[in-house]
Amino acid sequence: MLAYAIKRSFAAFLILIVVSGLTFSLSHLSADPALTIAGEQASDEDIQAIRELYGFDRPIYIQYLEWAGRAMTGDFGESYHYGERVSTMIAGRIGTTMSLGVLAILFALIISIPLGVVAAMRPNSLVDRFALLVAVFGQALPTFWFALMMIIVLGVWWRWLPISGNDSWAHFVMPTIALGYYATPALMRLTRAGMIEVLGSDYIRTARAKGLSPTVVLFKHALRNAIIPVVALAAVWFGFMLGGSIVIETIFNLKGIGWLSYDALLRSDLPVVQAIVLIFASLYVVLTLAADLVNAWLDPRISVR
Amino acid sequence: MTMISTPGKSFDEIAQETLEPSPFSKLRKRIFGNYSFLAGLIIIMAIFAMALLAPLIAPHNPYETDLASRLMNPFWHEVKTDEEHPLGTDKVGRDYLSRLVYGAQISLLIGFSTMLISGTIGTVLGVAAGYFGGRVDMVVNFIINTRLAMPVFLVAMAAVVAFGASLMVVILVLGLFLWDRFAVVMRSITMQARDLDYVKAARAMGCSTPYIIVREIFPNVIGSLTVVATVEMANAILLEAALSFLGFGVQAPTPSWGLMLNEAREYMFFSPWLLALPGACLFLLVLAINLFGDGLRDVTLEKGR
Repeated sequence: MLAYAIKRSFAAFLILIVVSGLTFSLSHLSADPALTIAGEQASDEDIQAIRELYGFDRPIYIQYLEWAGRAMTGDFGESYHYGERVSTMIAGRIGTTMSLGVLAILFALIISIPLGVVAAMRPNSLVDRFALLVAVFGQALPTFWFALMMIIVLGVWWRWLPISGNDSWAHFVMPTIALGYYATPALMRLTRAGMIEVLGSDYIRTARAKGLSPTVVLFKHALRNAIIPVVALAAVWFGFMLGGSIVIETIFNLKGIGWLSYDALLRSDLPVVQAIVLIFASLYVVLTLAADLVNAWLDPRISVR
Repeated sequence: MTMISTPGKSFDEIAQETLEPSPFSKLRKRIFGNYSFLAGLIIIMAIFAMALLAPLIAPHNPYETDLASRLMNPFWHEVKTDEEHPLGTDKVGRDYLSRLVYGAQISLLIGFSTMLISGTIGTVLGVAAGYFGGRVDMVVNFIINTRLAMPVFLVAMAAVVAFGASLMVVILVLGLFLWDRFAVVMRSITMQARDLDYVKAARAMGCSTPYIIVREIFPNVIGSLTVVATVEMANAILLEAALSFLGFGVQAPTPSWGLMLNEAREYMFFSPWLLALPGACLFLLVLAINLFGDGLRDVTLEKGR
């Protein structure tokens, strides 16, 4: 187990090095950082001076090593455009993105679990067919178009909700729906499939035979078991929502990390872009590693394979 | 933007999930028979025909601007309509119907080319890992994991900034990123096929490795390959639209549906149909590809692997 844990951690670390190296070189291909800092009107001498001041004239691998070394201590340098510390900028905005992610996943669960349960209770009923429609259409609906349509109907025509900014809870309603609905088909399918399987199992038959009320059987015995994989999948989707937040935050002008990365790319603000990519990648790697280790701990056979 | 990476799940499990018929497929069959598969196919063929015959179908040149007739309303409006432009015109007076028709070319081109590039990369990696196992498998696993750790959308945006925004760059970037599911599925299926009796027999007879892979293994994986291809094609089309919508994709004046949504944003108040139409086209195309893919999955599995 220990050997397995060490091996997996090492692989995870190696992945992070490769990802960060790729991102670093890619972003240095994308723009001449000295030009970005100096601005369009700067003279050649100024640009050269900045190049030397920031060390952009050194080989790229040396720049990378220096950057990576500082990144490990949480220091991502300064934003070229705003002159602020990247870590401060991210810390100030990560709350918005996290709240949006949590709200969106809650929204998805609130819709998908009841729908999935009812669909499983009466397979082939009207509700089940409705659930099917939601799943098939939901998967094909482009998130950003759905968001735009919502803005037109709820924001412009009916004037129910604000369409841009993040000043109040009302500003989060549409982004939450736009980001959350995309996870509903997958979560609902899993709830439905899990419930159908559990409801057909022996212990549910025993519970019913004991004369327990259908409500108790359904909620206490069946749903409890069927919901475990759904929650696990919801955790995974949370990771995807961070990615989806780029488009949604940009559309709604909700100033979280997604919006920040869009803004930074527009301005070729490399330190910010690199930091965000590294944070997203680390999040994925750590999640995967944790899940693998938990699995190996639960099922020792995995670590020997 | 469908998911693939699932922390805590082995690649075999992910591959299995991708190929399993959706839990709804039986139900769907009961409701629609095989009509959904057929409907998907017909819509795809129709859009394909529209793309091929665009010069014949489109009433106008999609690039031809006419400032005298800007923002004409579509035919269902009472005022400011023009029989010349049944679906109205955009902000510089280009015929909207023609742009929508030509937009199909862009989406399909992106979908097919990305699928070809990523399909080739993924299949080569996956089949090699599955067939040779051992060290090769280890290296391929590492490459897949590294790819999965990258936040695709963000890195794609950065790559577009680095190499300049154009149709070619978008295709290449998406092609180089969306091969993960191909690799995971091909690896898993090849592993199963490797141990089939007739493959062992071919090896015992001394057939060369390329011969075995092409003649004995490949016929086994082709069904699953097509299923994954449909998923990735839909994925690529949605990603291109999202990239173009944010301004990090295809550039003006190309009639890409995503870019049309971007250009129409500022007219959301008075001309909401400018946003509604391109999104509806995207939705229809992706829906059709999904229905087709789902049907294909049933057929592939019925044959029994």
